Amino acid sequence: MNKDFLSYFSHFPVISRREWLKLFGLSTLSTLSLQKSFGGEEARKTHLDISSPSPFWTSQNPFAYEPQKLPLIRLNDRPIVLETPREFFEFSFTPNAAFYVRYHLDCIPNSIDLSKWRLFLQGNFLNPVSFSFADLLTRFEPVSIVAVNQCSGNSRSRFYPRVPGAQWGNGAMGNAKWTGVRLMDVLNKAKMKENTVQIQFQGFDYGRSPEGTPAHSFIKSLDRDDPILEETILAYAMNDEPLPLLNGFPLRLVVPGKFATYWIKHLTWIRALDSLDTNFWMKTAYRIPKNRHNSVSFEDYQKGVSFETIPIGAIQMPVRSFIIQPAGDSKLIEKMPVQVKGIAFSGYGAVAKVEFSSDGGNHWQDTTLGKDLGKYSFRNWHIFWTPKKAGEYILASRAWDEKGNTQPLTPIWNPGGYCWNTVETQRIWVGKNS
Amino acid sequence: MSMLRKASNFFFYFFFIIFASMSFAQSSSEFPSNEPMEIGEAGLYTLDSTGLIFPFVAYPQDASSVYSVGAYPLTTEPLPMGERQEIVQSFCSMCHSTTVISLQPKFSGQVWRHEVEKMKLLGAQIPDDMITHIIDYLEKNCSVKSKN
Repeated sequence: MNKDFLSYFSHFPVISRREWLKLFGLSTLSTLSLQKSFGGEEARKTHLDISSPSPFWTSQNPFAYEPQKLPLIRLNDRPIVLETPREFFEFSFTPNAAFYVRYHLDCIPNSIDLSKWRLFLQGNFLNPVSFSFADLLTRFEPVSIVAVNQCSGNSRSRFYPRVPGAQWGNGAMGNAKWTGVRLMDVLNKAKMKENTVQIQFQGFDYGRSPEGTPAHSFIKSLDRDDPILEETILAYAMNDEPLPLLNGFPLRLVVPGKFATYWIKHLTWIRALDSLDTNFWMKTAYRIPKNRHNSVSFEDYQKGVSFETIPIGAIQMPVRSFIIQPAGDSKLIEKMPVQVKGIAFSGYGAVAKVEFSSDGGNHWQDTTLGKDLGKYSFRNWHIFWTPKKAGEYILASRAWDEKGNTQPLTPIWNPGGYCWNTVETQRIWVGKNS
Repeated sequence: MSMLRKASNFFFYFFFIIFASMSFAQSSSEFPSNEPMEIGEAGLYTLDSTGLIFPFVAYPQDASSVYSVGAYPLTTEPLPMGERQEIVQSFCSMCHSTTVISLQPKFSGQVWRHEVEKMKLLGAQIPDDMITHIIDYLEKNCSVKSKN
């Protein structure tokens, strides 16, 4: 067992070290709580059990049927919050109908009239203009990029102690080919004034609290000198189809490598600002510790020890990898080779390597990477593995990106439940073959 | 609207729609005001407690510039039974369904207090004495010590 695991868990007085390891599926000790296959109600209780991180790949909730969507896991019905089931991540591209949905505010467009909708450029521009959808299609060069869209709180149910917020498993992410116009092409038409410091984005969705309050408008800003602006696009197509309404029809911001909180849906207003955006969604919400792995000690936090925070847009999405198959929903058979497969991505650049372990992180071996679809895309990986004898195994995957970043082996913690990228494990039982 | 209504009546047995009319009021310093215009409709929901009714409304079968999906289904998770449940139900439901409350782990009273105060900061229009009741309910029914 890796020493790092052990040293970290001693920080948690609430639960014994051994207990923690068991819950996290990082030990080969048998555990009653996870051995049995759960019934629905029991799985749900376990998923929301305050005494442990959720051991499940996705959250344990009923499915909901929403327009243009396959049944997806319902975390909330108003505003709509839906998680993508694990099986869809076998593909490089997440189908539009299976793509996760997350809204803050509940007045979500049910219908949009393109004869009235415009993209407005306002504020600190020499030439404030607006564009119709037809303008975007005909007056600008179309560009495409394959990029992962991941919620800042993806995998929040992994945090321990648990933190409030959408109790996501790993399904608050998706990969798509986004097609649209370059943000810079649009900004150049409106001519930003020299003293512009940030670009602000707002969509057509809104909330029922009074205008001027944070819960009326969801607004995010990017720094003018952030190099990502050059790669940012205003997408009107997703996987070569119009955007589903719940994924931002008719136009959404695509900020490759950044968390999805910046990928404004139903984009309607772009404003140039001559001073820093101090609205709630920038100044108060979506902030993370400025530490390694954006992590603080829970005990220090409880004691009120202060720490410096930054908006989550100040970083790229940390490198992650996932095992998609085998999923632990059935036993494997001793001496029978299986293909272990999954995905990996990083906001810092291309995935360079994905390693696989079948013994809970003691030994790692390189896997075979799939097709390179671009540095911001999911990268598929696979490896053939033959369990030599019957018993219990802890599988794990660990990715490295081209910048040399890799995933921590120990849990991180922050009060918002953001940026989880700890190595994921999969407990597997292997049965006798005769 | 009539298009939506016709379609909805056709598809749903139990029905209510929350209307959100687009109103663009005066600007505030922090949030610039929106242009006064009618882009479309937003915030229409319809009751679907079964989870079995396909909520899709056939899109307008015409060549117009209106792109519509009809009302979104409500499949609300009820709150745990408890004293002052109806206060929580009515005030919290102004902006979001109770599903999101019921699907949280059992946090300490301190965490719930912090969450409710955050809602106030976000703009929830809830009088102070009601805030006290809401925190009280959450402490008793959605916390570690609760006995559901």
